[in-house]
Amino acid sequence: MGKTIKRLAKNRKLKNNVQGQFVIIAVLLIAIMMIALSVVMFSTVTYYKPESWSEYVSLVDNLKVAAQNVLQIELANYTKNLSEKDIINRDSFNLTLNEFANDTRIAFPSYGLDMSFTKETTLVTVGNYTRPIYDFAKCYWNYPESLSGVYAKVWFNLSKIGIYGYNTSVLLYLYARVDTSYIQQSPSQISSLNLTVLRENGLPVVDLTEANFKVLRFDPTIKDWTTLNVSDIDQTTAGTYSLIFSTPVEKPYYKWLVITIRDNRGIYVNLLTYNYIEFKVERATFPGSRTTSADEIYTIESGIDGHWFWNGKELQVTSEGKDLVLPPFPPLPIKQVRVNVTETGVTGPFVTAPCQYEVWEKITWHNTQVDVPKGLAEPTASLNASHRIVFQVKFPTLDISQQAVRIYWLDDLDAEPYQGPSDLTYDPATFTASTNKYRVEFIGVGHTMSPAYPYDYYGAATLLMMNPSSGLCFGPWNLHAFGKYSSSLAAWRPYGQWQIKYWYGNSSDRAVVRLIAILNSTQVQNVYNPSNPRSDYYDTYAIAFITANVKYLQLSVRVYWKQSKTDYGIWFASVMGNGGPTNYAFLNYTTNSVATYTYNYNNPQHREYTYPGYWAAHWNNQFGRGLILNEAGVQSLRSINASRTRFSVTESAPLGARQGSMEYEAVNCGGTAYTTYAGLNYNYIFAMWMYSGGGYTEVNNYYYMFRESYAPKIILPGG
Amino acid sequence: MRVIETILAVIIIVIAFSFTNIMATSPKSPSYEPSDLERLGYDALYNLDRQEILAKFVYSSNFSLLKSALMVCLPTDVNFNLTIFDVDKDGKLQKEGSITYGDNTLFETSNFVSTVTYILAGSGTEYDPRILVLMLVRR
Repeated sequence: MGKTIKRLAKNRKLKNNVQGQFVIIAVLLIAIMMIALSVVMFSTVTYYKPESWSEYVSLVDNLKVAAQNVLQIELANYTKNLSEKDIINRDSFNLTLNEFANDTRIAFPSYGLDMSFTKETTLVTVGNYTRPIYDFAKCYWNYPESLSGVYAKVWFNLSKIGIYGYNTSVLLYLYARVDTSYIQQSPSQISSLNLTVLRENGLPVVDLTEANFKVLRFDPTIKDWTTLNVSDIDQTTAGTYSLIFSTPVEKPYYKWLVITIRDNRGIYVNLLTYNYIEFKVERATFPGSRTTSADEIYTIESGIDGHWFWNGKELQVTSEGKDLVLPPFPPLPIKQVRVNVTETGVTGPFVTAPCQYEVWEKITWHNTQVDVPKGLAEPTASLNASHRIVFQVKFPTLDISQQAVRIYWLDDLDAEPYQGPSDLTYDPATFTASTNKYRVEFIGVGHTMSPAYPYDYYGAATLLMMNPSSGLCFGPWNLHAFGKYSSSLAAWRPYGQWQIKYWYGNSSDRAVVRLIAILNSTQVQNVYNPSNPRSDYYDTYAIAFITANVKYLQLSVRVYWKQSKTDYGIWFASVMGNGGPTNYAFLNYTTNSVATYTYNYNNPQHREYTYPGYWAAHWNNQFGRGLILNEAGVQSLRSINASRTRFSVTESAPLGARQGSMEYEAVNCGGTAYTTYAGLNYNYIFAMWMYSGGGYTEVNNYYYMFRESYAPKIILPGG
Repeated sequence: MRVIETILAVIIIVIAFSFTNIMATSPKSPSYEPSDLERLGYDALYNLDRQEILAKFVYSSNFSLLKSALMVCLPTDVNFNLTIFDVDKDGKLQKEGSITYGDNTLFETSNFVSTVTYILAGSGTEYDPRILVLMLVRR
């Protein structure tokens, strides 16, 4: 008990001592906390005060302004190149922006600056007009409302001062709208034009003078665009300008104006008062005994200078109005162009028609001016007189005589050439072009023999025809031939290499309407006794059009004799059959009647028939082929010696195999030898019509469309 | 005993407050001077740039007008020295010109010289950067 009392007393004593120490410890802790807090506050305050925040803000401001200026410079350059040279060059954006980022590091070396630009998308909306800006810069031009814009996100890291991922967006644009309401009012002339010019955030551009505007009108006398003199400018409200012309623009040419605006930042925008050209195509063929015209599809070339062509013939152009006024094509990149056509008559809805862009040139070939295709156009080239827009117009039912065509253009300058679906393909490895209706292998120098046909042509140029569905090789379509070798016919044939025009430049964009194959030959080759090709016979300029979506391909041939030669027979065409066809027929030029024959493979002969006319055909029950000659071609055929023209067939090949050809002879090989003379020349256009056989009716029904007298007409709207 | 502890605690707190007060003394006002000048200098360049005057004078090498413009934008008691550098293809700075307003020796003798760097991207349609280094000092 005594021990217990002593321990309690000791504990109480201890407890009293600990209470005083706790107060001191608590106060010490509070003091330490206060000091620590003070130190933190002190650090914060002393850090903030000497740190140059205003300097950093200034730096970021400067970078933002400079980045905006760089983008403005790039947009100005980009639009200038587009306006003056039709060149789209976005590489410059990446190059310059990277260079700028490097230069900022040089200018501000002590901030750990890392700057970059990223492509973003935004929409620019002005009233009802909306266009996206992406890929740094976009230009939507050549409409009554047009826009040039640049949009990018600018990123900064300032690692030395702990700023990461700071970003800001830059949008700059120039928008312009031309008031075209005067066109509906139809005055006799105009002497002013109203325009609205805006910039980013819809702000009016108020500092423009006459020097900032350029207006072009089409001058029919020189058939080119000329600059209108803007004598005065009036800013009616902020950003709305009235351009006063020193010389009025008369009706209807005021419908077609080109306006280029360059603001004081150097940004260009291009406007047109119209965005399409419309006309009608009227066929001249007649229903006759036909029950359908489903395959009457014309492949029309629309020249930029107001000329239209079909099958080598320039088409007649008429006007619905009093005066014939050709609507001018504007000077814009040809790749922008698209074509809409009606398929159920002029009141029917427009549908997209495949189109392609070709370059044609006028060459002097043996002292004769000849229009020939040069190839597919450079897509970015500005529309000019050498260009032709090629598209197809259908007349699927007999009651339709006219179709409307609208050639329009896209406003997005990044538009690619039209590349819609097409059954036309070309395989350069096999030298073969295909459509759904036929396959053509180009035989000539560089590809002298086909795996599908067992004869080497030793460089003689020909078209090896095949049926794409069955794979059957009909054999070659020989373009022209002269003479015999022993008993073998058509010995001397054009020698050379086909130039294939299928791609746009070096791109993968391809022809969707037709492939062009050109043979420009100055030599001939004897396919039966090959030696070095000879240059002392004739020159040949042949152009083959392998056309999508139709049953025909066309072949235009020009021949010029350089020296006199004597031999048996001149062939305008010899089309082999490889033993396939069973029957043949041709249209008699004199009687206009048709006679049908059967190939006699049991007693094979070369058989000749007088007075060949516009077509010949051979067929069996699975396929048929027609050979249709244009009117000029028939005249050429008859021009050498009309009494010796022949339609002929050869029933066996040189080694005795079944052949079954059809041939057009200007001078028959079955008579006496014929002597040509230097300067003898002729030209002709054939169309080969591929059909399902069983007779010749289809060829007889459709051959009119290849005759010049029945070529379609172009009807322009009234002025 | 508790009285002694309390006295000790009060002394500790007083010492802590005194320490904090002594340590947290703000920097003297003259040390703000460079920052203010920087702001002035930057504002001057920025405003001239936004008015599209700066690039115009720099790229046309119209330094006398540029000097006048800066004199208008800056307080009269501020002397400045503007050096313009071109960035060459190798990324090196090539001095293109300089403008001085006021006593040049002040920039060497003054303790409070501010420097502002400003970059210009180009003029018109050409990317052609210039780096402007603006030194400022108050008389």
